[in-house]
Amino acid sequence: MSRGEASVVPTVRIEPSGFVARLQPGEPVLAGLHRCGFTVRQVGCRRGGCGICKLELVQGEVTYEKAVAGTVLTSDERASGTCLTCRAVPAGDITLHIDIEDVSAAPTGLLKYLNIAATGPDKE
Amino acid sequence: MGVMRMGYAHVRVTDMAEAKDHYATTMGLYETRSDVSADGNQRVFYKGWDEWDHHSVVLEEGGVGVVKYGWKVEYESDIDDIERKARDFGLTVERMSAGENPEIGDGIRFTTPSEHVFEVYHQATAIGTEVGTHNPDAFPRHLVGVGVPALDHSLITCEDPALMQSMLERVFGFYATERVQTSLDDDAHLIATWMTSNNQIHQLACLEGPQAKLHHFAFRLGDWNEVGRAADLMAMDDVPIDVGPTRHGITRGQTVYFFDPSGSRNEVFAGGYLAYRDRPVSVWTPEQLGKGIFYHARELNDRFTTVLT
Repeated sequence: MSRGEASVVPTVRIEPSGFVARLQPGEPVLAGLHRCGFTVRQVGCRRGGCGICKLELVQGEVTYEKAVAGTVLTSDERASGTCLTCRAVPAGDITLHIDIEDVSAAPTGLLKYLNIAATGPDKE
Repeated sequence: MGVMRMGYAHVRVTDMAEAKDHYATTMGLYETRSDVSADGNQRVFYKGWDEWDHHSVVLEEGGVGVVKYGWKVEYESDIDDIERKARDFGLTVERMSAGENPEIGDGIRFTTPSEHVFEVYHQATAIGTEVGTHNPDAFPRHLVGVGVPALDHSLITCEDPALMQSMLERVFGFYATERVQTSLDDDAHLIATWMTSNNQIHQLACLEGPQAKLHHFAFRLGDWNEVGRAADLMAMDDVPIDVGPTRHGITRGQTVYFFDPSGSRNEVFAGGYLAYRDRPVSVWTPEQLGKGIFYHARELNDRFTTVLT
């Protein structure tokens, strides 16, 4: 999918915490999570070179608009749902698995203003 | 006299247009050549304003990480000398011919115990610095971006830093200026070593980690102010900063670590004290390693040892 077609506002749901972030069209997953006030523990070069930010894609599809080296994200990994979050752009709503201790929201003080595009964990 | 300096770092980039924007527009390197390699990959060659040889950085499109390093020796005969010492060390050495690397002369090539490719050469096409040699001015008036003067050093990772230290001592005649080791005991395990051939505080450092990987390569800057200004320009150009501006305890250098558009770590590095062969080696032990790497924060982040290309 090209950037032009990605006019929908994709949501990223994080399991098992239940966090939800609303990305901007064409925005990579990791940049979107940061903009929405989430802190993800495993962050590396942010430019697709080191592979540190790879996470498990539980549901949905992502596309890569920039070249990604096959040594960083193998075709097997792509096929089995591994997502290089600094380069992956959601093709619609997606769900990611991030262990509870590896992600936090930033809902207090000034930081709460970052979080307007996101909702906290489900209450029910 | 042997190796004078790291003459070139040749690295891979995933997207040449983005890489050129970074290395030319943000870092301010001068493009000296653009071509297509024998393998069909696009390449771009750069030099800094205060470098006189044809290039010090080579970008090659396709993948990430370091392709090889070039080491410039003072005399043609140093190549034979290093070839003999490399064979004595047990390395497999091949001859390379002038032109295998554009604008670089005859030399040798070998793979180190760390599985990095090193080339040793004496001749490179002289272009001259941007200020010349006759009544030169202090710097060029129209620098672009950071305007780095020169390539400075690199840090690589390897499974056995002690073996790399031994190779660099015996084959290149390098000596260690600083080390990280598990203790001060004679049988301590070597974790990292900073090595040079002259008064430059380090030309190559080797850190325990995976084979054949690049931790960073660094450009030289003059002082703290230039390091701070470089960080400002990185903010303007949306360059992801890893750490800094700060100081390294090790080398006392002032620094910013940042990433190029392919995720390879770069550094701008200023200062560092003068190294001498007879200066006692500084030794760091793990309980103060955070301070050794990042002197102000005194805390080593995960990325320092995990983010490699």
